[in-house]
Amino acid sequence: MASAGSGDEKAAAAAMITLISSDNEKFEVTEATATLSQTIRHMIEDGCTDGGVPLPNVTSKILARVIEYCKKHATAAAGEEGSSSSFSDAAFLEVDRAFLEELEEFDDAFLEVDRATLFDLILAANYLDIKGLLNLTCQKVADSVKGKTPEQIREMYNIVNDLTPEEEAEIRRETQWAFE
Amino acid sequence: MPPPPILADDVIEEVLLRIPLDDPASLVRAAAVCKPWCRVASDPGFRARFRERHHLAATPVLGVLCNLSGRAGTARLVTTSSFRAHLPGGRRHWRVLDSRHGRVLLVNLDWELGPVGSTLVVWDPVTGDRLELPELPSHPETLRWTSWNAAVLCAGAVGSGACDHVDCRRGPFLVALVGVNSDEVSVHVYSSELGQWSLPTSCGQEHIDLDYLARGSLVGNAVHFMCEICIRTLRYEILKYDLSTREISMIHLPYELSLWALPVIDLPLRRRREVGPRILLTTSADDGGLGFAIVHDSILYQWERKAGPDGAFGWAQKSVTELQTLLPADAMSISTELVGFADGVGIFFVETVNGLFSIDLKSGQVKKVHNDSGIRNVVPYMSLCLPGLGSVSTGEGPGQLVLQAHERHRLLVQGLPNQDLSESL
Repeated sequence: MASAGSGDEKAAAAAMITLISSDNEKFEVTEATATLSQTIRHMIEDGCTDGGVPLPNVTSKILARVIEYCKKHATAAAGEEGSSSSFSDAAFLEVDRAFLEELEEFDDAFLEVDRATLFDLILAANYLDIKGLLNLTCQKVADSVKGKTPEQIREMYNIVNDLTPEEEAEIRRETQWAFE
Repeated sequence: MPPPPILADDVIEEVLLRIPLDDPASLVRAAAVCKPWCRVASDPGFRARFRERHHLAATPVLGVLCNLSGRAGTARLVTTSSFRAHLPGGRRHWRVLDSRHGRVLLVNLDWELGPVGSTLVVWDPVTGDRLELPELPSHPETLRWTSWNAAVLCAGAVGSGACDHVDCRRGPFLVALVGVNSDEVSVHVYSSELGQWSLPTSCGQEHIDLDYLARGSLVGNAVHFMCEICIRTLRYEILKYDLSTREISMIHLPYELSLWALPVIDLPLRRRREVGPRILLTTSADDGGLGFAIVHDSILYQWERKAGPDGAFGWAQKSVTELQTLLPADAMSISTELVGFADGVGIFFVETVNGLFSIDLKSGQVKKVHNDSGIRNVVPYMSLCLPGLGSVSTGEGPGQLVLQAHERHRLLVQGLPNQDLSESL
């Protein structure tokens, strides 16, 4: 078992972790990819990843997307570490900028999903505690409600309105200007 | 499409926290989506985290209330966010005197006539609620006032200071009204809890004139009002009223400012007076201390009141900023005038030939707020404006908060009972 304190960094970097989705599909990922998730990082630190990490809250469809995100960003994190340890050079900065642009493009394309998937990704990011992914997906939802009426937001995300007419009237009475 | 999974409250919060600061309308509408979203947006913890996320040390400026030149015409709210509000309608000409802690103090009058027969109104732009204040108890005395000014503040601002003023606009408030005649200053304080004006606190004071276009400033327990330059002493002064000790005192400004004033003849009144650049009172974003700002020859000077080594307070120049370097070239002219200041966030408002600009000295950010010129002064409207619907959000049906709201609504609709306060004098 590759533990964080093994001292053999090469072995640790190459160590593989098995993630098991709710529908029992297995995904082999590098430790560097897996540890973008704070939840998994803690499990690795506690040495409870033998035989794979069961993720009963995440389906294989969503887990595949999450891993895709983590792989890309794990490379980015490794790249950042590399450049900060070497002296800052114009060429390095240029490479960094190009890489950041590529990462942004990746994120934009990554978010091109239907709304149910977006919600599933938020739940997975929250459960796995992946800060970057949570920020990305939540920002997408926050941006999408801009200028929308409550009814449009409910339709967009298939949310059931459980407010009573009295409660809704009370909200509107207090803040009529926002609904005009 | 299969129904998306239900989001837990902490995830909903992650989404709502990311709605931009200048878009309170989207946040309010999101709170009306369903009970969980409403519950999250109304939670006091959410408020704290929302401020933290947006690095808010103070409440943000949602718009500026502009008093326009000329005797006619009503004040206008120019928003700098998605916040929208209309000033109370009717045939009245509303002027804005002050705004603080989410409330706005309006008056309907001709400036030249003074407070006689005019009505002071405290307005909540978020809900549109407005409360007309009763007539002053010492009404005949006010006929002799030559100038006056007033400030509105949260009642929790005085004394222990337990209120952080993030969401106190529904709570009790005070209005401090100061009036001067030829030999006396008197201060009346209205308390919304008591529903009436206090007996006046007065002291003998000659030859002061309050500058009603300079908004009052709250520092500690005291409200401060700027006076126009005194034609006898040729000095600028600040009138200070301590709300806890009920003491009135005067603070002199540095004498060199008087050198910028020029004598003019006030034609309708045929009296000579001195006119200098507008001086606005400020409070420091760092320690809440008293300061003032003045623009002369397109240079913004900031001063602050500091304790010296011997403990005595004096004025120290804090900064000198050349506005030429900040404002667009076509906006610059000698007529650039300081018309407003937003406490806490430290944003100045200047009126130029090319419109109204806001200047954030800390970040160097300059924004055009309004195209028109002809603005006499502006009062920034600052509020966090988050939905705060306790009863809805706890899902307990019409609880105490709703009843309170209805109760308040009833009071507002009916207006306060027309108490004859002379009986109690």
